[in-house]
Amino acid sequence: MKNLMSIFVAFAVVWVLHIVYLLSLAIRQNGVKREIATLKALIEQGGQPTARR
Amino acid sequence: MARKWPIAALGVITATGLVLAMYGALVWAPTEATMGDIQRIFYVHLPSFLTSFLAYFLVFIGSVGYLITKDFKWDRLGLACAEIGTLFCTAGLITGPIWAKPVWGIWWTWDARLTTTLILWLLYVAYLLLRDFMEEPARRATLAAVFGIFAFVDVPIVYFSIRIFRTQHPQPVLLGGQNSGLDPSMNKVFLVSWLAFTLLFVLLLRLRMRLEENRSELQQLRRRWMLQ
Repeated sequence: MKNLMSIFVAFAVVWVLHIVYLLSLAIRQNGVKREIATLKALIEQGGQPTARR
Repeated sequence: MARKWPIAALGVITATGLVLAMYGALVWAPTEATMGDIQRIFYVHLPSFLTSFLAYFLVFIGSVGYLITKDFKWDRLGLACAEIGTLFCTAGLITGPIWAKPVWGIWWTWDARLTTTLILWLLYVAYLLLRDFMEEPARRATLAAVFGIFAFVDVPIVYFSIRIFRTQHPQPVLLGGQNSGLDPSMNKVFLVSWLAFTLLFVLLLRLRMRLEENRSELQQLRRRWMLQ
């Protein structure tokens, strides 16, 4: 197969971009879920805003 | 759990589609007579752009929907589609020069198709940056919606640029009239690849929308907490 390196780089770029984006979504989602859980716990305890991390 | 399994099922279907598309592109599709194997980049290059056009069309729909209803679910759709559309557009803009260099002898040229596509990418990067610079949600959503409608004007310009202007970029292989089109086996691989990219878009959109829904819930909780 001619130009194998160029073909490999082109396909790799596409998959790396999408995998990095999927990872960024997972990281952002986990952060938001953690914050939701913390806030829910504080609200249930009747915590004050100053108690926030 | 009930909300998770459709995403997991969609993930499995998408992954299968992508594996099939890659097999088709790299193994099954015949080698193109003029360009040789480098033409196989076509099977990720064009589906990336077509998916970004779909995403930008949905930004347009979301923008119009928000301006009419003032419902933030439309704004969330616009944001999610702009982000994912820019991801696919970036993939297309990177694979293009990798394909162009061995075929044209240059990485880039400022012809109508390439230039208008770069402008399209810049417009949606600007859309995302614009959102980051504004704090007040209603104002941010309104301005983003107006910008989202304005930015979409470039999509048909990109699409028709190779029909209107003489360009270095090849003439259309899809819906290009007589003397255009693909070999039937190439066409099958292209359609599988396009379908797989569309499924990937739907999966990413669902995940990105869920993130925005959770952020919205977080904002409500913050307000509730501050009022306590």
